[in-house]
Amino acid sequence: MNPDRRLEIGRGDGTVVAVPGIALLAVGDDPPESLVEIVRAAAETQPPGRDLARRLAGLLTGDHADRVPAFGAVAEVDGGLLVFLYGSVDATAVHDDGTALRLAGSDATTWVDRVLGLDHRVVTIASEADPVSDETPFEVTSGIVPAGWLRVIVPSSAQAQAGLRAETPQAPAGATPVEPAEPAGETPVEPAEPAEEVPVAEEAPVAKVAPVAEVAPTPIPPPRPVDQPLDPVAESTSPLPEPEAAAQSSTTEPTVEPAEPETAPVTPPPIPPPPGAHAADAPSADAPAADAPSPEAATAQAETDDPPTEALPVAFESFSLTPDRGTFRAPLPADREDPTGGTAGSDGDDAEVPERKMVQGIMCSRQHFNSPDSAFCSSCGISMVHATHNLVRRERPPLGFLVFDDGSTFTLDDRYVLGREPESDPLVQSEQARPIALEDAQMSVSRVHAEIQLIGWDVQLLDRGSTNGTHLLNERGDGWDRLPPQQPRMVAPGSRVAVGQRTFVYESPQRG
Amino acid sequence: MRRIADYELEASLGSGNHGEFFVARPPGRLGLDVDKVAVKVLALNASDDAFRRVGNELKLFASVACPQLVQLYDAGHQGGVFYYAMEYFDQGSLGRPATTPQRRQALQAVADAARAAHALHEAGVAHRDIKPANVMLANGGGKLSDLGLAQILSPGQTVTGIGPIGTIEYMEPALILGERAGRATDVWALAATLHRALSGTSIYGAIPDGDLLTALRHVVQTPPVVSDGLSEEEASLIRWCLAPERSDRPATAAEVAQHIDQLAEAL
Repeated sequence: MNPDRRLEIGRGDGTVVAVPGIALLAVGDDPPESLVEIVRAAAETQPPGRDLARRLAGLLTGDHADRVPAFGAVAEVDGGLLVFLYGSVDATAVHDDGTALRLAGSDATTWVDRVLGLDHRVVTIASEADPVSDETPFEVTSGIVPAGWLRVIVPSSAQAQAGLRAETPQAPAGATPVEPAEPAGETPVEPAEPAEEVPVAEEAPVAKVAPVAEVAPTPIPPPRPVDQPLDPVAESTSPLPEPEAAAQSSTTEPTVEPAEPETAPVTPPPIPPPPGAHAADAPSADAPAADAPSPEAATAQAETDDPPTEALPVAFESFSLTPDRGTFRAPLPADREDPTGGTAGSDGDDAEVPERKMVQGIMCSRQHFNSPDSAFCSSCGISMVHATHNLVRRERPPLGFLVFDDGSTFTLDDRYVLGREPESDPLVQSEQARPIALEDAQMSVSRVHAEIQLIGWDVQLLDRGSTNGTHLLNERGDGWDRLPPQQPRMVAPGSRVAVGQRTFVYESPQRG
Repeated sequence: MRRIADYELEASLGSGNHGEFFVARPPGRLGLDVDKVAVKVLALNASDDAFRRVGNELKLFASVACPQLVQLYDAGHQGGVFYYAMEYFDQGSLGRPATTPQRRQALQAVADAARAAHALHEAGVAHRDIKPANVMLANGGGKLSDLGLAQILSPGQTVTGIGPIGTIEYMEPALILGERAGRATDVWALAATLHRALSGTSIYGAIPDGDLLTALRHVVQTPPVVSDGLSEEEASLIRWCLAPERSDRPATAAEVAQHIDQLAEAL
């Protein structure tokens, strides 16, 4: 945990994993490596709580969730402590005013994810089957230690410490952490601006936060109502009105299947806020703000005996600007004409440059490489009618670009996975595709939602079994066709696509 | 936003393509003898991988010893937010000057930016975001600031959508279309910057600024046109740098700098 915190553990049939900012109790004596890895990886971001919660949620929704034992974790977040419980593990948090809040992992079908304000001074995590023992606890800093329960003590609360004096730890011999974690590289300096500390109401129901898009009971419709014609003037909320979308889609003849009206939401209801969406993004947003201590109270701390309420210093890491050995690059190459096409003047950072596939195509009279079906050169616009249609094999040039509703633009020279957490996809992890992370306040985008594939000279769209679907605006521009999951569909330049509530347009330099 | 790490942020200097610049007091740990620095705070929560890549790029930038390149003092992240601190210039930039520079200084500032770009190229780094707002005014000339990080933050990304739409005026269209950034990318941007500084107009006429997609289409489909208000020498240098084929442009940014120097001397 944070050096200011005390972490105590007691005997029992479990394992405690402690790293800077995180303490986790797993039931059983052999926590899976995946769980330990997640704790270590999350500790690289300080404070680690949010990153930890995201990673744990990924683990618990992943393929090997059934191998994860019950566990409970306490971790630092800005202005509070995260409590994350899965399975038959309980947490008890003692508030400054002496009241206690009890959370139980078994109260949730998925898991419990809760942020407590810093006015909770003592947080205890124990297995339901293995309650807190009476013996004198051990104090640990970091490592992996056999233990049955853990307790995090937030310092400088007179009340909380008074209640714990009897348990002042005396580390017995043998309590040394068996496997010290790596020391944290950062030094917390002075506190950032006092984050408003928002205590969580005691009577608030336990938040059951699941990746909402995956469990949302009602699919969220795609963004544009089907019964409204495309009207760029009326479209004040979308930055990308697309009057030409339908017209342009006729420039190439896609193998578009007939529209499936029964799958398209007809009159989309207003989007209901998905349950838990707020809890996932801003855990304390709905807590009574009136109880929040003012920043003045924090500065007055030195003069009074009141329990201090200062915010946690948010650690920052300032790194050396000396380049690492071996990262120096060769000078950029000259931009000369390259007979293999396309690679002249490439950037130095080869790791980020995908290897381009070889495809067959034709050359325009100015020696630009084009699709065999092109009527005009995509580079210079010259007519291809009189070009010799000799097929040649070259590196495939980029097939255009995607412009998202927030203005971010991606070039189509590689495969992409789109989603809320596309990095979790094996294709991205194995570098077979790049991620496009789509943030979405309405949680309409699944973790791994859709995929863009480049096949020959074609761009294909694939829904990856998302909850809210991947939709293609139809050729008339007045309705959305939902793609059947896992079935690639070719998209034509100018097509507009909805990924949950997020949209993008596929643009291509084809000149018509 | 009042603080990031141990910087007190005093005032915003405007938004760039992936974050906002602030003027700030430097923390004592840097041991600087200046009382102001420019701190850029990236507007996105980037992945660990992205932090690593941005860090590498900034380290390379900092390792380039070139008097025309803005000094990078510090970089880091706090709570998932990336920041970096650079030299601050009270005369502002070509995009937002404290007082409008004379033609001679505008020429010299772009020539200096070209020398800095060349130094970056020799270190294997393409700048990717040369524009008037990144050409700082100093000592009668200029210094090149910042780096384009869209592609570094998310591989394949060419525009983050965070900055003003108008900045695509300086972006080589081939980059939007997916070609890799190279020397010629920055040569193009230097010419578009010089054109704006000398004529006050864009090489594309009025770029529609209602939405990015329309603006991107305009830039990709409109051949650049050099303003009538420029001298024949200025116009021909700019046209050379804006040649559609990369191999038809000046081979290096250093060559561009020499030619702009000649224009400045001829004034």
